[in-house]
Amino acid sequence: MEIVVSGVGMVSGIGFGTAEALQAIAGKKSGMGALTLFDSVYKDILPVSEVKASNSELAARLGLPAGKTFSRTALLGMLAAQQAATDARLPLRKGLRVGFVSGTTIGGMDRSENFYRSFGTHPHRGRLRDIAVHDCADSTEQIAAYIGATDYVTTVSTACSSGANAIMFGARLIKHGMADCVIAGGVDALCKFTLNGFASLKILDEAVCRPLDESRAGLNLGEGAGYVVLERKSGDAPPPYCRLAGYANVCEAFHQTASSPEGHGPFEAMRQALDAAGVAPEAVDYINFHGTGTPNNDLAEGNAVKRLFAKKIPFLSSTKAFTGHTLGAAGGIEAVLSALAVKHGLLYPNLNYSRPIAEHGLTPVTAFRQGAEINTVLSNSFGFGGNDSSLLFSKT
Amino acid sequence: MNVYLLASASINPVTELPDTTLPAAIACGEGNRRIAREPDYKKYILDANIRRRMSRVMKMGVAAAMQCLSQSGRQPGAIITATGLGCLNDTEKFLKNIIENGEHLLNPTPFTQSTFNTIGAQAAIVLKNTNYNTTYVHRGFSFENALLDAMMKIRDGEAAQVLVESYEEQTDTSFKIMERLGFWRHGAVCGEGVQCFILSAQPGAAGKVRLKDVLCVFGGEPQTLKEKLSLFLRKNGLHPGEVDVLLSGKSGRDSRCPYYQMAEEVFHTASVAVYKPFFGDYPTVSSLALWLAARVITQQQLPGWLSDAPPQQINRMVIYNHFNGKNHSFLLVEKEEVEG
Repeated sequence: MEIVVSGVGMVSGIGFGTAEALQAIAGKKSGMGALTLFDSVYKDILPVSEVKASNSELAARLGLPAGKTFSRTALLGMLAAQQAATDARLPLRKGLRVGFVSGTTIGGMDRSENFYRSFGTHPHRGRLRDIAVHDCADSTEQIAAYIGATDYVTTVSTACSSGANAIMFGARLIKHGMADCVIAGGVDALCKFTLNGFASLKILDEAVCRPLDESRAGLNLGEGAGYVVLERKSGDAPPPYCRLAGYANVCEAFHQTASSPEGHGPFEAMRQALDAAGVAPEAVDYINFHGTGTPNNDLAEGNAVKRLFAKKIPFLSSTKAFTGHTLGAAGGIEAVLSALAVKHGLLYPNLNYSRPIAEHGLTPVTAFRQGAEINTVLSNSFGFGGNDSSLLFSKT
Repeated sequence: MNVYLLASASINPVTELPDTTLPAAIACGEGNRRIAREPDYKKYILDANIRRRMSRVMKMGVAAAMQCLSQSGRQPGAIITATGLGCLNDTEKFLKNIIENGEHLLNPTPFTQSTFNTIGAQAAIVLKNTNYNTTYVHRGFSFENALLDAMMKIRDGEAAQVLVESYEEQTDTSFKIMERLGFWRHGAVCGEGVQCFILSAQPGAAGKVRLKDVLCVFGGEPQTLKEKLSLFLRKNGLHPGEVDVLLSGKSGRDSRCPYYQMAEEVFHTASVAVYKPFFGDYPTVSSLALWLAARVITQQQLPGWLSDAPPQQINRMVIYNHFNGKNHSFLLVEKEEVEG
């Protein structure tokens, strides 16, 4: 069964919606800046890619009633999911069983942090409205209810591959007849918990991140959401962006937080996604790297790409220097960018690149291009726990 | 295609791993908290260093998985985990450290171990299993989605056996917060537990229990739910009268919940079994119900503490649970021989 992408939507540090994102990418304008969303000792030290709007501004954009508490994760997700649903004209198409599958790593932690601070002083303190939105499912249910996609609702959390695994599950639900159409992807808001988590692991760069560059020294965090609308190819749907031609999920089973330097997990994820689609490595035109900018990831991923694509290295780049690493949203946002790349023949520049990584010597694309011959795009998402996933998009 | 429960293991407040038979009589715990009985981990996690580094819930998760695999004896083609709230102890520890240390010099271990896929990743590392691996984190749908994913993997021929594991740990904080949110009213009890299953395309020597189908319904009034339940039964070629036991998620025998009442009306000829007073409640508690169902069907006996009116024969059970009136799930479990 052919599964196509019939709608896309995203919000990130480089703007609201796909048009703003593409404009920023074409102009090589990164979303990175100083942290403004909450107080932190890292405020003027670590650059982050924030969505440039407060929670109340987001709620106003969404037309939500004032006074109701939403996590920032839910708000970001509503914006992106709504764009995707509208793009696929879902509000006008009746009789479809529409599901919503969302990946997230942190759910409503931005609110729980507030709660926990008061609760820590006394167990009767803390606003219950803040903690009631804590779990991952809360954001999913709020978003699903907002866009009216409640025929199948679930949440996936596999660290930084959550969004990609949500998309994979969405496609399989359609193949098994459990939904006609699934809006799938991921969302995560910046919060103190993840900022401190990644800081404690010492994998955040105090400068802007430099994916695929020899001098890379860590990642920058970002926030946002990205969703694609998946469905069977049919006359009823708007012209699709592309097919979701293949996908694979493997576990490297190597280490809780690191990849093997050889990139065994990334290699298998990419190889199996190509196999599932019956596509030879030579047919891949562009790879949207997981490319976080950490020494470990970009070495492992690059080594795996070099090995799998030994005959012909495709165009490649990481878009993380634009959006930051948006964790659970990354697989969703990058799926949206990959779908746009296939549809419009786009190649995205890898910012802050100057020298290849000595061990594999891969050279990313550094200029924005449109109208290129792009038939097949591979999108990688790798997470803690060795949860490695790849999605393959191709022309319909 | 049929999917069988080849092996199962549970770490819960009542039985102790590797116990597989249900006791004839048990006393219900007091108060409104039920804490899991932890096994002697040395039997399941041999390396003392690895054992020491693991959090409590990680040890529970790995021990239950090892017990399950010792019954099935082969590498699963996929590892799928499910949790509502994840590794809560580590999550709280890291939040607390952020506040107490003012964001300085934090130990990263609670952060990395707080990730929802920790248990699935640990199982993969311990088993050196590089296959499909994912985690569902959706309240009362988490475990159900793990089951549905596993069933799809098996039906697509992508895995012959799938390890499905749910985990939930209770902390003082989570108990208190949920108390303030009103979860423990009307006799409801806070629980915790880890359940692990090997789902298989083929029945094994001990695998006489079939997981026939799973239905998840988001939201809706009792009447709409009843209609969807009817469709589900029809799709599976069943009449409600063919169900011998309804394993109900109601909190106490006097529950007035309109959803559980609706289920009892639909399955009015079935024996109603109630388990939460003994095991407590949590987002992935339907996994405990499935573990119980497998025991009951295998033993062909519904203990008196689960039901006042046990049936003569137990060929088919329906597990119904809802989380907060929003996540409704039905699991259809059968004895293998039912369809001859």
